[in-house]
Amino acid sequence: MNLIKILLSFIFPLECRICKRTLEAGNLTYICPECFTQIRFIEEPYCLKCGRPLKSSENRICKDCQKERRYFKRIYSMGPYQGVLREAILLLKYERVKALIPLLGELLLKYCQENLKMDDFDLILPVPLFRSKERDREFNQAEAFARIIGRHYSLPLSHGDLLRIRDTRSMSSLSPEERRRNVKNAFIVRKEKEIRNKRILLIDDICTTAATVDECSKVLLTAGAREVTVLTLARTISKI
Amino acid sequence: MSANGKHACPNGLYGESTRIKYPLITITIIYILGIILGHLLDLSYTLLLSTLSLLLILFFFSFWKKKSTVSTFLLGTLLLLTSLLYHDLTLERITKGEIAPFLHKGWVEIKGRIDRLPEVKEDRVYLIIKTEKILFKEKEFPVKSRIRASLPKSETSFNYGDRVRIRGELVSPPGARNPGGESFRDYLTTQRISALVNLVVNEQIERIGEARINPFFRVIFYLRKRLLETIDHTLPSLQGSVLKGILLGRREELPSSLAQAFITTGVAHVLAVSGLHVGLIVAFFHYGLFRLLRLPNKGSTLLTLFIIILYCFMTGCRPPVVRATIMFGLLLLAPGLGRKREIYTTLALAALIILLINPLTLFNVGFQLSFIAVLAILYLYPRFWPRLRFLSSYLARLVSVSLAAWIGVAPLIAYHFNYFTPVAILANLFIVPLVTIAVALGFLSTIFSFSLPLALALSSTNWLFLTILIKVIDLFSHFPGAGIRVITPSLPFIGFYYLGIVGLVNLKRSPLVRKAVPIGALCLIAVLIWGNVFASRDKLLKVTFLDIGQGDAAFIQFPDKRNMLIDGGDGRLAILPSYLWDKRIRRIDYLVLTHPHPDHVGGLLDVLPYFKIGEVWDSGQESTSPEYEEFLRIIAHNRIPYKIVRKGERLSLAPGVGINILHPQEKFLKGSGSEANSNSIAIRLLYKRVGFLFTGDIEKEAEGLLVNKYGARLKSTILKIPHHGSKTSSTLKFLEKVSPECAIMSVGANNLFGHPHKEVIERYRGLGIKLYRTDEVGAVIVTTDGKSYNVQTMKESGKDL
Repeated sequence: MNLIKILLSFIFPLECRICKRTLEAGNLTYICPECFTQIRFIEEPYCLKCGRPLKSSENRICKDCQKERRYFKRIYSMGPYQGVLREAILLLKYERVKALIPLLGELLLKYCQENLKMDDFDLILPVPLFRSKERDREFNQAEAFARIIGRHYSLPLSHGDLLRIRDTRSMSSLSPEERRRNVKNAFIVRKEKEIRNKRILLIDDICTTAATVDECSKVLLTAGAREVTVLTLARTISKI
Repeated sequence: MSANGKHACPNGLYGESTRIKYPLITITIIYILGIILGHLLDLSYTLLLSTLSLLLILFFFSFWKKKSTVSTFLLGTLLLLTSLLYHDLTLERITKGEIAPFLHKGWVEIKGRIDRLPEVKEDRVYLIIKTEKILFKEKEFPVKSRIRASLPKSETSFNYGDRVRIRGELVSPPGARNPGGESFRDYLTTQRISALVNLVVNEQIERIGEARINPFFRVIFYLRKRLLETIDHTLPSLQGSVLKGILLGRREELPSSLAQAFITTGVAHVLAVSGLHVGLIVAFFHYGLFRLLRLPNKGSTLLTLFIIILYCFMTGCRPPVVRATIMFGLLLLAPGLGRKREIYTTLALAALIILLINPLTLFNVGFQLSFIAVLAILYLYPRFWPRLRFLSSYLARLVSVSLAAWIGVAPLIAYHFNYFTPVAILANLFIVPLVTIAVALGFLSTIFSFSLPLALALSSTNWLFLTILIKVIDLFSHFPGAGIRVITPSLPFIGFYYLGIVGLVNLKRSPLVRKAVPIGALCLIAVLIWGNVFASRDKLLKVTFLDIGQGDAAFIQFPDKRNMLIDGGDGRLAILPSYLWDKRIRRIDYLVLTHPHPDHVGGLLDVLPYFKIGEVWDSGQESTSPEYEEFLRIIAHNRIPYKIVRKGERLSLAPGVGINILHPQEKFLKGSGSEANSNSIAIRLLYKRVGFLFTGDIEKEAEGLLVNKYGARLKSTILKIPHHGSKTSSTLKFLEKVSPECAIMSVGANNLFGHPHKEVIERYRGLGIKLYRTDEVGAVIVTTDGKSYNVQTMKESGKDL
């Protein structure tokens, strides 16, 4: 067994993506424990509505949230989408490094402990992926985190109540307006009964313009949900 | 991925790590360097072994003293020398192994097993046999080597795994016969084949045992047969032959004009089963069919892995397929093992495995092209496609792959094949999608071959795509930028080319590179200038009598860099162009045709279209041979200066070099054995004190005439023997007047004319003239500074054949 491990680490060297240090033989996270501790929770000031980091703490609600209607109640984001957290999410999403899920999950639980009142929710619901994309990736990272939180707080997890019915384009290269259009009508609720009158905690990995989670919230509210609060792993800090 | 650099570990662990991050890549690079050094250097085992032991002691000492940098360095050197040694030992085992004592010893009896799939090429079948026992002088010797037997195509009854008994003579494969020519021996060495067996009569091979094949191979052969049968039953022969080429790399049924079109268009890679195919299979099964069938991921991965391994064996385990199978296998497995995909390491591992099985595979063209193409795609593709995004995303990716691969392989294609095919970048955009469809439909029709209508329907669709494919290739082969012939690039040039690409890519990134690029460019210029300065300083005249089979061809390089080509052989072996390209010659100043016989003019037809010709000299004899008419047609079409030369014509080239035409006379000789031969151009070339006499095919009448006219003025140091040593030439009187020190006979082995005549050889021997025969020694190269001369031959006389 050990020999196989040594051979494997020859073929697939285990090194920290950040500091390039070689990891211990069993550690498949590709981020060393030291670097992982560098992930910081988001710091104030940020918009109390959409969670976007703000320049000054004068207004607690950002201009966009004052101007536009938001369907979600509030967005909580664990950390800024940069540095180690960004690398971790990239590794998870695009290199399928599943070993990062429990580590990030633990961090997310700590964030919930400190910032959220978990009694306020009846149902945890991950933002769904399109079917074929989920099969390509073999897992839905949002769902994986939702499951961790659900198990820890003994909250019911919605499975398949919300569906993504279109293979939407990747958001990374789109403008805010395009993003909105990209996810418009991309989601439907399958079982309205499961949603009705529920206070929902919607989980996603990254939030940039909040277009996706807002569209989901809209659909959920239309289906009869009482309110939707959003929790994401990371928040993009650059202006888009 | 910009911000991550700043988040280094706080503990400052950098200093500790002299250990190598990606050991497999480093090991593979060192191993390859070792093989190259082993190829270039000829070191004795004693020296190698003593150096190795010394290094080993030093290594343990430094390891014990915990000098990690020193011990890492020593370990690297140890690895380098070990790989060098491994290369030498493998080469020796193949070329001088157990079988060596039985080579060129007359008939022996061999028992062995057919080791690979029989290979059919044109009208022959080639069997690779792993020997078990050799019966020689009534004694049995256990010998384990691979030999190759060639049989007529009708003998297709032999299968992989059969035990056979052969009677024949074992010979070592011929090496290169001309400078820069292909060495058949080297080629077979990369296939681990030690010898050829000459069966004089076909009955001398018989099966003595049925194939004992394990079930895995039985499945493979069944599938292969099934695939070929389905193609035969459902497609016309032209489209079928293309599909067989694409799916299995079987080119033997492909019409040669179409095969040539694949080459000139630069898309021959689709006919050499390559990574593309394995990738297509992975995509087809793993991401297509198995997903459609809703197979769980793990099952789909393992099944796909099994299929590509099956396919690898089905196509005969050629290096590109082995490479792709290892790579795709590891990439498929990585996520299941919780590992990140490490594509460069995977590539390195594939190279290491292939080269450990046989280090000489490094010199296999397929291996080189396959690895360089993948490296170029991995390295350049991610840099190209974001810049091409103005095209659609799909097109941008396709263009990037095509461009990257072409940039990677272009110098190697030029080096090995003297082709330059920029049209390939464009052609691949059409051909790769078409081939993808053809492969998918081809496999599908095999899978569904239990139902003829279904298979037929699939094949008919495929017929359409294959026909389009053939048309597209035909179209592109007529494009400008298809099939341009180029001289062989030098190895330093190729090295600079690849370094240049790495430099260009990193130009913006690293200040070090920004400094290195101009320095590199200066070095390149310096090398080019110095190369020319040195080359022109030694005022040597060089005459190469090429071994072109039956016929004459002599290439003269004058001290002032001008050159002259006298005759071109029959052209059946297409030796001349590759020889000239290899010598980096683009221009022939004087092209001489001594007389219009096919064994002199034929090969010139390969030369005229691809080289700049200064002037053609011809005897001006009338001839209606098709080759000669074609010769005149090309000259007229390309407006090449053309001159009929006669006795008395003189030419002074470079100080000290004089050329005199001695023959034919203004009025042609009549009534001799062959008028064409008798009126051959005869040239006397004098460089200071060293004289050459080129005689074409003159016979005794012309010799007599020359003796009468010139007498002692015929005296030459080196004589090109007239008319391939026929008995109607080389009269005693003539030889006495010329009285050469050396004579060179251009003659083909086992030629139909029975050249040379025994008496003629005796005559030369009797006069004490040193005789070189191209059929025995390969090309003969005479170099002179005008005072003394030096004769080199490609092989040692006779023995080496």
